[in-house]
Amino acid sequence: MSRQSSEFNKAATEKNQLLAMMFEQKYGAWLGQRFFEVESLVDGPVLTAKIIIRNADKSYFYPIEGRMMFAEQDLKIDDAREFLLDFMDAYVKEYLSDGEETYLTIDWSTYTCEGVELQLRGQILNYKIEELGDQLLAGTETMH
Amino acid sequence: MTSRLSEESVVQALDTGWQSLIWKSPFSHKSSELAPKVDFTEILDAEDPEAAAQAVHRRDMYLALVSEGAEVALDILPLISAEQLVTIMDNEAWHDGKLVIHQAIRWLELYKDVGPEQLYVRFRQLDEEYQVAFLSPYIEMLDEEAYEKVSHDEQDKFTAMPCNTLWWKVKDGDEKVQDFVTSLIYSSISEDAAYIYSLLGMAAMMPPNEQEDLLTQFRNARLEEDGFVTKEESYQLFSPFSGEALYSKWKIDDRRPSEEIVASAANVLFLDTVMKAAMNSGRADPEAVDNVKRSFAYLANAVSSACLVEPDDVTGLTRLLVQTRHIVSFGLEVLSSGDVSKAVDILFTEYPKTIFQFALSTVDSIRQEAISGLKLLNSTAALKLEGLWRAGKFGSALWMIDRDFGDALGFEGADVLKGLFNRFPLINDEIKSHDGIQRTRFRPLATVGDYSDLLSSIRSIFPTPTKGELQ
Repeated sequence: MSRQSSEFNKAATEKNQLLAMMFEQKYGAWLGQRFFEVESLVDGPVLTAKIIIRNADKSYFYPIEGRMMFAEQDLKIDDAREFLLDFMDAYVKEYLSDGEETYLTIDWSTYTCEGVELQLRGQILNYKIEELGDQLLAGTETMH
Repeated sequence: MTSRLSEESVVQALDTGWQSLIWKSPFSHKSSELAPKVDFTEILDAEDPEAAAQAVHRRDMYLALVSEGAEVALDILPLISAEQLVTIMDNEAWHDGKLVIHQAIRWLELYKDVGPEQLYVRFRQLDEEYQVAFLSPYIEMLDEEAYEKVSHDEQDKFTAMPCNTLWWKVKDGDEKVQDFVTSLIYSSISEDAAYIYSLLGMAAMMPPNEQEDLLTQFRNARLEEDGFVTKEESYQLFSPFSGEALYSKWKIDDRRPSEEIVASAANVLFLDTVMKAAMNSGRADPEAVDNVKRSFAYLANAVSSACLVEPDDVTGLTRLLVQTRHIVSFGLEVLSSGDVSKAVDILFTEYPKTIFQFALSTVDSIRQEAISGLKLLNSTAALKLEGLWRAGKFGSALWMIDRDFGDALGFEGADVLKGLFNRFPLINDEIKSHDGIQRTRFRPLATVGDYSDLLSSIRSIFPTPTKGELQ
C-alpha cells in the first residue's frame, strides 16, 4: 500500500464518522430505528466506499457499495472520495424517499456521471436470520 | 457538481423541519390521510363508470392514482376528465418549478398502452400551453426552401408532412423523448392532420420557455386552489404571530365545563377526539367534517413550500400533515382548556391555519427562555441564534446549536434545544446508544403535557436564576 493510500485510510475513519452523522441529519425522517455507517478505503488505484443503512440487531443491513479507478481518471483521492460519496448519496436519497423500492444490482453496475466512471452495487441482508440459521445448523438453537 | 454532503445541504435538510431529526408520533395515524379514500372497484362497477370517476375531486383522484400505482389503475385512466388529467400533469410533470417531460411521458405512455389513438386524444385535452411547452424544445420544422438548403445527410433526418412541403424532426432529447414525440405526431396525423400542423408550427416557432413561463402562472393558480401557496406565504405561517386576541376571545367564553367530555384514549390525538365528538353529537354534518379534514390537507400543502416538499411528494406531504395536525391539536387543547365541547366550536369557527400559528407562537416563550440561558454561556452566539430563529432560519439555527453549544451543553442538552428550535417543535422521547454513538428519538409537540415536558427540559438545562443571581 502506498504512503498516500495509508495516510488517506488513517484520516478517513474520523471523516466517515462525521459523514455518517451528516447522513442521519439528512435522512432522519426515513430511518426509524436504523442508522448509518460509512467506510472508505484506498487500495492502490482503486477507491472503494460503503454506506451502510442498518439497525442494531442487523435484521436490516443494507451495504451500498461504490468503487472507482480514481488515478486513471485524473482525480485526487479526496476529490474522488467526495465525488463517489456524492453520487452514492443521490442514490440513498432516491431509495429512502421513494418508498425503498429503488434497488441496486447485486453485482457491480457501471455508471457515468460528468464524464467520471464509477461502479455501484448493493443488496439488503438480514444477518439476524442468517445467524439464527447458522445456530440451528450447529444445533445450538431450537425452534419454538 | 455541488456537493450533496456539504454543510449547506445538511442545513437545508434541517430547515425542512420534518426530514432531519428522527421523530415518531405516539398517536394513531388513522386520520392522517391527505384525501378521502377513492374506491376504484366501486367506480368500475358503477352504472356510468366515467361519470363516477369524474365526480371525484381532481386532487383526490390524483392522490388515489398515485397511491394505487398508475400502472395498476389502467382501467381508471381512460375514465378521468381533462381537468383530472391536467391535475396529474400539474403535480407530476414538474420539478423545482421546471417542466420535466420524462415525468409527463410516464403518464401519457400509459394511454398509449390503452390504445394509440388515446395518446392523441389525451394529449389534446391538455392546455394548449402544455402541448406547446412539451414539444417546443424538441421540434424542428423546415419549409421547402430551407429543406433544399441542408445537406443530404441532414435531409435524411427529417420526415415529410402529408403535404410534402414541410418537414419535421425531433431534435435533442434522449431515446425516450424521441420515441414519445414521434409516436405522438404519427397518432395525431392519422386522427386530425390540421391539428398537428398547427401544433408543430407553434412549437417550432415559439421563443424558448415562453409557453413554460405562461404555464407556470396557470399551474401556480391551480395549485393555489389546493392550498399550495407561494414560498413567501408559506414562510409566513412560521413567522411571529400574536395569539393574545385569539386566546382572549375563547377565554371569555366561560361556559360551564362540558358534561359530554369524551375521555381521550391514550393513543388518540385530542383533535381526533374533538372531531369524533362533533360527529357523534350531531353538531357537525358529515360534509362539514369532511371540509375540516380537507382543510388540514390544505394546511399541509400550505406549509410544503417552506418545508421543501413538492406537490407530488405524497410521503413528504403526509409527514407534514402529521406534524400540522399535532400542532393544531395542541393549539386546540390550549384554546379550549381541554373542553371538548368548546374545542368543537373553535375547530368549526377558526381556520386550522390560525390555530396552527397560535400553537407555534406559544412555544416562543420557551425559546426566549432558552436564549436567555444561552446568553450566559456565549452571549454573541446566543444573539446570533436568536436572530436566526426570529428570521425563520430554523435549519441554520439547528446547525449552530450543534456547532456552538454542543460542547457546553452535551449531547442531550443540545438535542433538547434542537427539538425546541425545530421548525415543528419536537420533544426528546428517548436516547438510544449503539457502539458509543447516541441518537435521540423525538416526538411532535401535541399536548399541553408535551409543552410542560419541553419547558421542564429547558429549565433543567438553564435553571431559572434566583433573585440573588439576577442582582
